[in-house]
Amino acid sequence: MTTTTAQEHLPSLRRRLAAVGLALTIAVLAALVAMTISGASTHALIEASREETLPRILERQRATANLERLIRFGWVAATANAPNDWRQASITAQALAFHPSLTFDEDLRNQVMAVHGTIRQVVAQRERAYALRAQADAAPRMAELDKIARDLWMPQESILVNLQGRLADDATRLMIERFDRLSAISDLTRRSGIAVGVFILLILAAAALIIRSNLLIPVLRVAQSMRNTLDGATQAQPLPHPATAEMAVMQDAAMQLRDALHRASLREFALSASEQRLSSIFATSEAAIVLSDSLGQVMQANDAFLRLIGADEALDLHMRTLTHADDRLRESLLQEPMINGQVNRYRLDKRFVRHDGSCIWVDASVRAIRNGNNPPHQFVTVAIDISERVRAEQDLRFIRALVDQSADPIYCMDPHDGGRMVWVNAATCRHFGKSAAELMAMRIPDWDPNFNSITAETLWNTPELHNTRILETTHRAAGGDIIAVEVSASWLEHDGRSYIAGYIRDIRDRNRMLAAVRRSNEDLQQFAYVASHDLQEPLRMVASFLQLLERRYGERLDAAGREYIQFAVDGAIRMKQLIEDLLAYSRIDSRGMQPKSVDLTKIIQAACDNLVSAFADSGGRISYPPDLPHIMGDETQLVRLLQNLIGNALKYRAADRFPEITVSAHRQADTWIISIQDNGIGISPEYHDRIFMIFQRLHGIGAYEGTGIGLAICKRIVERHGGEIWVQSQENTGSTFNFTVSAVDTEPHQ
Amino acid sequence: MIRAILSLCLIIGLAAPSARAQDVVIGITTTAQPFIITDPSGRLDGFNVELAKLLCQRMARRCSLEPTTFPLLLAGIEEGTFQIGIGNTLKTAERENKMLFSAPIWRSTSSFVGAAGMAVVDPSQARAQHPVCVVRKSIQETFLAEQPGPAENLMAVSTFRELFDRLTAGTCRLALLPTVSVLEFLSRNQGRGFDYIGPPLRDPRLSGTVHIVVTKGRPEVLEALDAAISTILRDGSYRPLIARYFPFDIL
Repeated sequence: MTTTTAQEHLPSLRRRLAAVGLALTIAVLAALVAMTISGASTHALIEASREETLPRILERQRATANLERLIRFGWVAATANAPNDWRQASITAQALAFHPSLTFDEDLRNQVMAVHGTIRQVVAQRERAYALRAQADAAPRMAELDKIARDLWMPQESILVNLQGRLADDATRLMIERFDRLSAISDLTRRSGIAVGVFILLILAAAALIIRSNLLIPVLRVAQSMRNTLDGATQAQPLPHPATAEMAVMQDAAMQLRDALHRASLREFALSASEQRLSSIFATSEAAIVLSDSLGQVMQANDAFLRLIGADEALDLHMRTLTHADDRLRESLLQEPMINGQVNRYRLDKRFVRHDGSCIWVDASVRAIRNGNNPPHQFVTVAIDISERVRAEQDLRFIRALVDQSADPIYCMDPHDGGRMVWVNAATCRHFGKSAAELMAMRIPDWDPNFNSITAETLWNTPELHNTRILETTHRAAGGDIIAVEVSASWLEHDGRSYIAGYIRDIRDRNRMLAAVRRSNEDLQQFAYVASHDLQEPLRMVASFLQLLERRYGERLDAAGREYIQFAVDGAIRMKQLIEDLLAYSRIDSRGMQPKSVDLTKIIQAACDNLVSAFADSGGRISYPPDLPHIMGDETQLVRLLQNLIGNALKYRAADRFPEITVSAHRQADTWIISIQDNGIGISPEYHDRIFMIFQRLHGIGAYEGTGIGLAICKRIVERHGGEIWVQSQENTGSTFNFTVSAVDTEPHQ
Repeated sequence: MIRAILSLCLIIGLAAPSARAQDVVIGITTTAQPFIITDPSGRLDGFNVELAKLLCQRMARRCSLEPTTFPLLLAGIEEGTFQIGIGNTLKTAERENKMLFSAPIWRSTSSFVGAAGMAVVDPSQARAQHPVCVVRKSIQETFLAEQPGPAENLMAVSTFRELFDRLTAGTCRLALLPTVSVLEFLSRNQGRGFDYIGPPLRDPRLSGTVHIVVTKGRPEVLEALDAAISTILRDGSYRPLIARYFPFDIL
């Protein structure tokens, strides 16, 4: 609309060219008129010359020639001897003198008449002289008369010659006048021609300028633009502002053509890209794609399809034979409405029979290709291997059956809905004495009387930190009894939502057994304590009296007797040591302190202070980094732990070298791994577990001091702190004892 | 090829009769010499005869010359017996109604001829004073017929020969003739003692251009004749013809 309005305001090229053409036509017509007038004038002048001047010039030429003859006749009349000659000359001269060729001009006529009269006089003198011929002595008179005749004639020649000259001058003048007029007309014609030519050139120049600016250059630019468009230039060259409405139309058409070509190019490019994409997708798709005709004959199949069915090529494949016999009926029922035009696609899970005879489950999506409302002439089948899914579904059904068959109640609840049950197994229904539907409407407070906001807070938050939490609580079980249960709570993510799932275990029997065990342990611990404490007294008595017996009666005993007493004393002492160690071992749990943050460096220093004499005796050295961490634990027990490990390193040193002990710490998640490395005798790998058992010794009594309970105590201390202890060693290559302990920012495991 | 050439020759040969020059009958007066000369064998010659042949050649026509008298020439032209008439004819209004006139071929005057030494005659008194011979149906006859005088003084004859005989016999004392036509008579022995009597008459009817006449029904002959006259004037063949028969240029 804007373009049309703009075009309406532009001048019309047709009008401009028409104006130029009109001007040129006028100029050409003017030139033609001028040339016609000039030609007519020239023609008229030529005709006039032909009709007037030329006859007049010819008249004068003839007159000149006749005057010449008149001169001759006069001369003959005056000088001829024979009378017939001068008489004939006289007669002819008269005929000539009065001939029209010598009478067109009055002056000429008069002078010729005068000459003719003179000729008549000359002839008269000649006749008189001739008449005297018979007379005697007439010769002189005859000669005189002849002389008179000649004298009469002689001046006439000059008159006639002058007349000839005047006629020649007249002819020349006539010719000059005529040529002057011709020259004037020619000059006028030439000037007119030049003027008209200049005028036409000016008009042609103006026309050329108008055509150049209004037609040629715009057309060339449009042509260039179209060439650029055809050459595929992406950046279109802007066209100048159109000078005329026609050029505006042409430019608009060119722009539309360029846009159309550009759009077509884009469409072609998009189509090509789409074809390439489709071809690429078809070729590289992991989904099996197959194109079949209306009879099910495979026309084209991609590699994924060939891999799916285990074929090398798509020749002689038929969709019906590829489909498992048990699935054909289901698919036929789906195909029928599609062939009837009721639907254009269907989807089913079915089995393909592979070339090796095996079956593979696929999710087949079939789409019909048809022309208008005609029956489909082709089908596109996209098949996705769902073997894994089918297998997973089968496994799921199996697991579900297992879960449903489990004797333990298993549940899943929604923590964001007040702990509402979302799934339960049959055991859970039996546990609560409710149906699954009833349980789906129940929330935790409906079956757990201990559940409150604090519990809920703990429940909702804890799984996020520890993934799985096992807690003990009470349930209102079937029949209304409140029973103790152990509940596992695991945080699950499914379909973008968080769930808590786990099992419920009736722990009433276990609690009863645990209570019995706990009482038994307490009794046993009390027994061990009492036994070890009470055993020390008689043992001290035995040892004291044995030592007293040796001092008083030693001299009376022989060497064997003193040796026996010495054995008994050593045994008592060793037994006392065993009892003390056993007592210490039993006190690890009973006398332990609450864990707190302790400086590992101070722990090591305290342990080393207790081992000063051992360091001095062994010549050993210990090294540890200055930035050892703080750890959580019972300081006393940790000192004992380090003291036992460092002491073992000093004790089980190699004979050929001084002990070199290195303590280091490495952070792993929320724990520290503390390592005590030595260069001692090492431990063969088959003893790595045995050395942590109580009273287990790898060497005979006497080889090394000790009761064999040190590493058992270490293990018990570490386990009490929720950690682990292990050894890395080879015989004669030194040992590295490692244990884990909670970092300061982490609560120790309960 | 040869067959084609022969066919072409045959076609040309068959077409030749139609392309032949058309026959033209030219009436020519047996006037005074040098316009026409009849030798003892009867063969015609002279200025008018050669002029006729020259024009026929230029017109590419086959002409037959028919000697005749001036009165019969005019009658034959009027009747169409002659397509062309060569008789030194002056143009008059009366004649223009009856025949076609060609471009002028020469110019003529009319003079009285009589015994040498005879006094100059007033043309208006010539018939009254003297018996005068003229050629029948000529301009001169017409002129004198208009002049006063006894009818017997106007003696019209058919030929120049007859006229000159009467003049020399004294039957008529004067003859009014075309000036050029008398030259040959005056140069012969028969004409000795005769001369022009006075200058040519100044009456415009008695002088002017001489034409060849064409029968009125054949304008194409006149067109061809004028073209032939123009041709001989331009190609230089006419002036030698004049020079051969006349002592000066009679154009």
